[in-house]
Amino acid sequence: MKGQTKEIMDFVIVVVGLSIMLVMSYFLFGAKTPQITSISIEQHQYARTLDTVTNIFYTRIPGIDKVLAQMLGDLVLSEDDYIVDYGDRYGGINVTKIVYENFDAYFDKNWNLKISHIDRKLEFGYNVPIRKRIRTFIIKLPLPSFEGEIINAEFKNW
Amino acid sequence: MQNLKTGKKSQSGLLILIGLVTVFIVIWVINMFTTASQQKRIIEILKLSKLSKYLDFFKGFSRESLLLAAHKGTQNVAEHGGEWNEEGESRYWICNSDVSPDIETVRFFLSEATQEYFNRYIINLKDDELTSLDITNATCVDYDVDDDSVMSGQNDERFNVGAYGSEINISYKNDSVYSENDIYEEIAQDRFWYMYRNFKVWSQTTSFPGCICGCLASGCCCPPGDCLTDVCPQFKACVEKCFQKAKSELDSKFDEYVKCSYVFDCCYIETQVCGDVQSPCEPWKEAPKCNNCFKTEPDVLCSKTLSFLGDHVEKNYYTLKLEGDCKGVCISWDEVRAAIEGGFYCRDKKYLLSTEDDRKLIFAVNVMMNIKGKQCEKKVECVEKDEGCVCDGNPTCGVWCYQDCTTGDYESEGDIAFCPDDAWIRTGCDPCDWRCATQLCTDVCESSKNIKRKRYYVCDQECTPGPGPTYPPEPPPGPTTTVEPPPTTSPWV
Repeated sequence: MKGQTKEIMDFVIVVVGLSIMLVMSYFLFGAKTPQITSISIEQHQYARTLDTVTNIFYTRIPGIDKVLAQMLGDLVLSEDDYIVDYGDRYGGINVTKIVYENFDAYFDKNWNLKISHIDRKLEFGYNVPIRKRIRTFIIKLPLPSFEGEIINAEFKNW
Repeated sequence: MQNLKTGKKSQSGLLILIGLVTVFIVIWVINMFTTASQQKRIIEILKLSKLSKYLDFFKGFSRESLLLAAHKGTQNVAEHGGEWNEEGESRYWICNSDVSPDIETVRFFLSEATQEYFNRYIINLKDDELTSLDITNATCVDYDVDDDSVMSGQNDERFNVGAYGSEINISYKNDSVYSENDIYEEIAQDRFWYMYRNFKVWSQTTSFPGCICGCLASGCCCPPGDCLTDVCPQFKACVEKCFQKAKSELDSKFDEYVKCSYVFDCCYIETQVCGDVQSPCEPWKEAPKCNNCFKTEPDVLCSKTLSFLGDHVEKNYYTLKLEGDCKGVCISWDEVRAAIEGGFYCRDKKYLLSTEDDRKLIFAVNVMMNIKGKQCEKKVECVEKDEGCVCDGNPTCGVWCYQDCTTGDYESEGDIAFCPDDAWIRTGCDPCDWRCATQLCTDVCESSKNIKRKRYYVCDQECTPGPGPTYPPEPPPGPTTTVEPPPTTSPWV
């Protein structure tokens, strides 16, 4: 009886040990996957931000045939905060509106763009939340300038 | 029971457990390494992907920089008529005649300017960028246009520019991505070539040089000096009209978005009574002022032959002496020399460029005329006065340059028909054998020995083509004037 009990005890120990190992292995081995997934997702989000920001140099706005980077540069040097004059053919174009339309299409209302140049400050987009993960990208924006001036525009999305 | 007594059964259970734990640990360690390795690989891939995206970003930055550089380049080159020197002086398109730059010349200066502006952005990016970005300057910027595409209007509003030779290398720790940074960008809404095309056509066809030549006549007897002042108001007014006319010609070449103007900023005039220049308008190479003709091609000189001058510039002065009367002509003239500089400017308001300050495209060309000519020629017949056979009336600038008034004792035949200046043709080997090609033929020859010894023929019939009419035989040489009227049988009578 005593031997049987001991045998049962051994069996229980093996079963419990295996169970513990299985549970541990689930956490030890399986826990890595969400971490990698999390990194991948974050990188993907960042890549998306980067793609969107890069597109301001490539994508011509329909009807105006200019890229957003060009219009932003012109807006920074113009006296108006919204309108840039493009001559008699196009007249004044509301660049601010185009900026909103462009980034809203990618990030809904989850973005913010700040541009500073000398004493001029331009801000587009929405309030940056405090408790969310924020992705920030500094855009090097060439300005129309004899000296080849470049300014930093800070783009955030969440 | 024996096994139970010796405890072998419990030892085997323990051994199994230890074995299992060992296997588990081994698997766990292997898994840890595998996972770490996988994680590392994924992070590497993500990192490289991120670097590649940065590469795309900086290529995009370069594209935008090239676009801005092209706008600045076209604006600057247009403003200086294609090129400028160290003093900021602009190129001349008319120096007595058309010397406008060809497309290859303009392309060269455009490329030079654009490359310089483009590389400024690249240099500033290198200085500004804190990450490990290595980007090199472009070694060549090329405007992809040619004669056909420009002159056909294909490049009026858009053209392509390429920037070559730049390279980008972005590194992060031990990883790096490299790419050539060659860009080929379409520049739209920039009407540089539209302006060039129309200025080029204008420069080749404008009436401006001929008009200014015509103004020399209004400069006769003017004192030397700056004709922008009141030294010679009639000449200044005439030149202003030429500028105005040329501006109107220029305006007519453009659409409603372009407005042109001119600047008349340098004028010098001087005259020489009875000067020795023969033609009504020819280049004046020694102009002391307003004589700049900046352009790079050293082999094209401002003094090239003016196309608007007539071929026949040689003219003989002659005296017709008729029987018993006071005959002869008195001629006076003034050699007028003028030097003029100015510029024509056209602003395009259709599009505004992406440049700082004034964003309009302004195309400007300089013009210069350094010319001289025999002007205000006055020819009167001698008249009999108390003091004899003399020149009567007011000569140009108060001086008769040539006068030969004598009372002739020769026979005369017919009336004298004068040829217009441009109607004289030369036939045969006789240097005096000039013949009028118009309806009335007048042949006036002079002796090579004595200019006052004249022989003339007057005819009232049309010139015949081919060898022409027969001349009467030359009289034997003698000490006196030989003026032979044509024989009555001659068709010249």
